[in-house]
Amino acid sequence: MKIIVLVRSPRAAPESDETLPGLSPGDRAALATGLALREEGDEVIAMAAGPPADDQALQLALRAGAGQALRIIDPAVREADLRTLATVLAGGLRKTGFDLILAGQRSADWASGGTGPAVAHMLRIPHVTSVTRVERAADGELQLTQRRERTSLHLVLRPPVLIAVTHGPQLTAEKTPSDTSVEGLSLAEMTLPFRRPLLCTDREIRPIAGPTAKMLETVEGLVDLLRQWR
Amino acid sequence: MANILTYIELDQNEATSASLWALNRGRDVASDLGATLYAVLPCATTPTYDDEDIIAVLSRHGADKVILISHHGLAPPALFATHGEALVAACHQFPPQLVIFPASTEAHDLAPRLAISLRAHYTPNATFEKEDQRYLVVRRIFRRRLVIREPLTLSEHPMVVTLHRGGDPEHLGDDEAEVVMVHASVKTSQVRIEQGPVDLPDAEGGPTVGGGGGLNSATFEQLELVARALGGSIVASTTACSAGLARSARRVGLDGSVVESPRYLALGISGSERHVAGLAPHTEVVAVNTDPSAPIFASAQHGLVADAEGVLRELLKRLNEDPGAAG
Repeated sequence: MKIIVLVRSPRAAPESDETLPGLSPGDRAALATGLALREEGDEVIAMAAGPPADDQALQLALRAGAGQALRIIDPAVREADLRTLATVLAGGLRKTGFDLILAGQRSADWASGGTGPAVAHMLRIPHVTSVTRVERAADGELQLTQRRERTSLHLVLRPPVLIAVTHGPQLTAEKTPSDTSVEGLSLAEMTLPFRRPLLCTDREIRPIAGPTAKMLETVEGLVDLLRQWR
Repeated sequence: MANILTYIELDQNEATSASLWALNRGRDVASDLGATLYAVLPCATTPTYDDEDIIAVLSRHGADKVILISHHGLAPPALFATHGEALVAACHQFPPQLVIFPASTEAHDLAPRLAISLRAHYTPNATFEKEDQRYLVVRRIFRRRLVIREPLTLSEHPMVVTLHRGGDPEHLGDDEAEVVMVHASVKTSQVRIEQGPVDLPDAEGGPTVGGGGGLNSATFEQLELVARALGGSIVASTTACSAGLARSARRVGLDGSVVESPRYLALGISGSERHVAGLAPHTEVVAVNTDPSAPIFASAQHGLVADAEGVLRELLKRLNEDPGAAG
């Protein structure tokens, strides 16, 4: 089975290539899930579409045990909308081939949760989001759990499929040095069917100024609030 | 006239409160901006008509019309893999300028791909705000440090939004909504539901309680007891894990996992960007910290400036006094 894990380095700020070290929790869970599913003869490839700063995430994936790491190089994806980013990633995925694509549920920056489903749309394959467990079943099928607000669903599906995960096994070997380097994948080699961006041009982004929490006066108030939680 | 479609999520054949809240907000926008508000209801069997039927409920919560997508393959729970095609068909028949979903797991499986199918702009986990006679779609991004505000214009470029519930839904009138049927073809999906919905175990379905570097090993034990009294589980900050107060598997944030539960009680956690990166957008945060300027208070809905150790002691005492406590 060819398993592709989509990762990216969390951005420090909008319209900035500066990134934070580490992975978004969803990407970390996706990577750990892919590595845990790997059996003899399987490939686990980490893939990103973004600036050189994404190499940090890809190198982390290599150290954790991914066999290959690919970064799609194209300035168009720097502040891309969902559709453009998904188109670019789908182009890369068609090139590598895939059986199972794993993505994080949402990034720790824009947190749209849309990249995985959008990539699945471009590739015309099914997707399932908010997944907490993926296991192999008989006959090449996969069993997975989707966690909802108060319930869970146990699903069975046959690859090719894209799964966006919230939780996964613990990533254990990320500090192991890797001899493998991140490879570049140029868009010039790809045929992109759609490149018109759909960004909202009239948006405004503001920092949150100071504490926004409604402050409780006493522990009594906290107890009352927590009693409503049960 | 513009069309606003609101997706209705069902729980045991009744519309969820979050869906009715979303329908209320759709009514606000439709009335102010001059649009027709549709409630979109996929269902496996055609609903009955009486005072308490779902069509009457949707009418009372603001729907002008109800789009009924009836097919035996459309029983809840919905996934895009099973219901997506029918939803796209409804949007082709009634082209929307705005599609509103209640922010939920089901919506976050359906909405982004519907947005891509419609070539629409997608904004999840948002609220509507009215400012100077215009509506804004507002949400927090970048680890809850920034807020993005986008104008809602019902233009030729549609928007798909998942909306946070901000209160209880209200009855807005008694006019009966017109029912329109959409006949969608539903193909056999590659994804099948083997079991479910299955109730989550308490420790998974309950709130999450997090401890930070402001605690010590004795208070971490109390944290576990408080989590148990609330029917939840515990997590920890990187500082607490590095200090050996909790196992690294409990770590939340860029070095660890994510809090997905709807409620999070953070005790002695300063709220560094790396930690807040692990809080889902829908998670309501209540923070306790001795420092009133701690960044966690900018990420929380409620806060208490107090010593976490004393608060834990008091919580244990008070929560266990309650007859409903500790399962």
